[in-house]
Amino acid sequence: MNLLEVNNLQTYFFTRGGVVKAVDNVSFVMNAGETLGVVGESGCGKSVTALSVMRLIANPPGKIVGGEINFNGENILEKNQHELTEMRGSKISMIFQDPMTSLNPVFTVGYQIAETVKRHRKDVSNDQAWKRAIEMLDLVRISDPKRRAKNYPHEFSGGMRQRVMIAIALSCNPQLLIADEPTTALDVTIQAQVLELMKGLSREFNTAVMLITHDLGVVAGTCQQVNVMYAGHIIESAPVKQIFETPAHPYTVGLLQSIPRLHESRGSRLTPIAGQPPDLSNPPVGCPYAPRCPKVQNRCRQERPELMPVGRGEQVAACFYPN
Amino acid sequence: MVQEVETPKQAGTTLVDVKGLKVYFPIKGGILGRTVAQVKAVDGVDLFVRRGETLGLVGESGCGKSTTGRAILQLIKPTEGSVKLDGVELTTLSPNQIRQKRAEMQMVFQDPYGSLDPRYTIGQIVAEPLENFHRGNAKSLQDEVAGLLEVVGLNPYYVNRFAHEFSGGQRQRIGIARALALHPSFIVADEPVSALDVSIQAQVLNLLGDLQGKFGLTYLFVAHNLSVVKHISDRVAVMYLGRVVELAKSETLYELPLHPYTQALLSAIPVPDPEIESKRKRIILEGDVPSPVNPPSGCNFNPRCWKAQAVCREIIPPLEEKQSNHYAACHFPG
Repeated sequence: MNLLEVNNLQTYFFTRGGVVKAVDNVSFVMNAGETLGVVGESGCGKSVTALSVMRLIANPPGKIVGGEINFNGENILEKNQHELTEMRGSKISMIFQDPMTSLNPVFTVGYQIAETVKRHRKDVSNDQAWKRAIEMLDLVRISDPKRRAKNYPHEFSGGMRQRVMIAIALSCNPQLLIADEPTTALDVTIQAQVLELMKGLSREFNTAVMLITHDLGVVAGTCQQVNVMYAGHIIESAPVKQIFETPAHPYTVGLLQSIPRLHESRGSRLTPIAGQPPDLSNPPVGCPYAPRCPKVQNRCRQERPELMPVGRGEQVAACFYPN
Repeated sequence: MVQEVETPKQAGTTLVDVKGLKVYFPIKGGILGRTVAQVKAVDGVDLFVRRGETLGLVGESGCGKSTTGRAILQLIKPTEGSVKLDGVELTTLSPNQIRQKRAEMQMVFQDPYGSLDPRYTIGQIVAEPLENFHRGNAKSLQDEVAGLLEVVGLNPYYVNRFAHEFSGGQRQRIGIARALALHPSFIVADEPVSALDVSIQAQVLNLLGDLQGKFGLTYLFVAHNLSVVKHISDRVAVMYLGRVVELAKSETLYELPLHPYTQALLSAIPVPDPEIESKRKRIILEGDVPSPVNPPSGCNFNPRCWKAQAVCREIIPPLEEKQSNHYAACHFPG
């Protein structure tokens, strides 16, 4: 059985300007211990997908209007508020992008970790929860955890706060960790520390990780499977090697060509993708990428392609004319 | 630092020469609001930019790269040091003289949302520098603005629209058109693409490259993304905690970094290629960047450096030419 199974998920936002189909018919699976990368540009629906899995879509204006999300065989969309609170933090945890604002400034970090533990384990005493907090801080390699547990968030740097967030997220040994741009706000040397830590911990505890990012470099180094999203759809999904070696969808190809590379000499011109992503309250008929696609044909403007197997079959792309 | 022989207006000669630049910000405290400490944002920066080249300035947040860029343009008054533009010392000029000089040196800002006035049409935004310097009459102004918009790849038809009607990439183009309006020779671009999505980022990077070829511009390109900096720069300066620790030709710096910090920085960048990623050996630095209020003695980098010896804690290594045209500030380079 798959750990997470998302089928035809549709999350729409009902705004004054019309219905925004932020996530439209998205399906994917995740296995235990697997690291899945979700990449795409701003507004492509990657964060909304993650928030839908956590059932954290603010309603109004947002609403999950269709599909199902099966976690360990149970449909998350049918759970009531109480069951959801039980699930969040203990079975599925989430780390957010901004480590500066995700922690409560008026409580010590030790308290905030212990709080999570106590919330989910009724048999744990205050002392045990505090011990667990110190243990977690040690695990995320914060030096002198005994003393640091008594510090407030403002006494930590950005990278350390993100590690505290990881400590909170992993304190109840969740089966799935959703990390939404966990290193975007951090400097590269600190990013390397945090990614290394996440990799090690997910291996150690066999935690599945959904890593949402716009940085293809981060994906190449950490993920096994990659979903590329565009305008609310998954337009390509493949093992990491294939995505980079034999990208099938023209958007994936375009994305890879538009990033400057460290291992290339200077002066080579970048190949940008022309135009802008579509307005999701008024998406184009047919393939959402058609207006920007260099390989566009008449059919693309009329019909929307579904995900279809490409190559040896592990790779799927939503394109009539894949590479 | 080497001094180029001055033959004005020729490619390859020094356009901007910065020596011993320091910018300290006071921290006020107590009831009397006295200065209790100083943030040493820029602490002795030496660099020069040749005419027609792009010098990349990289470093992590708080290393002083943006402050350096602004201090060169005299947007922040330097505490100490000298900045010469085309042989003219800027730090001793009067405010009025600096204002005149601004026609020659312009800036492109990071935030395409915050750097454009929401109440102005983009035509007014681009025309403003021309009006300030009394260039042309109403008719020629209109043509000039249309020409500038075209140059940066925007349809002049949009001249009466407001900034909020444009996407991030288009707004950055407007910011670039405004910077170009007075035909400057030197442009400081402070993180011009970091707020943009990758596909749009490439459009703007290509535009900056094209404009440099067309108008013979000289750029100081400030950014934290080393792949972007490598792509656009002829030479790259790496900053750490207020000082330049390494300066070299872009290829040399990326292939043979001499300073341990540069080595760690380069190894930390994720590369979009799983093949390379799986084989790479990362240098994971311990700890965080120290506070610039109370920087470590000797070499700034010594508390995080795996090569640090006693001498590193005592003597500040000067930026020296270790190999031809390759400068590093380290006691044990390589």
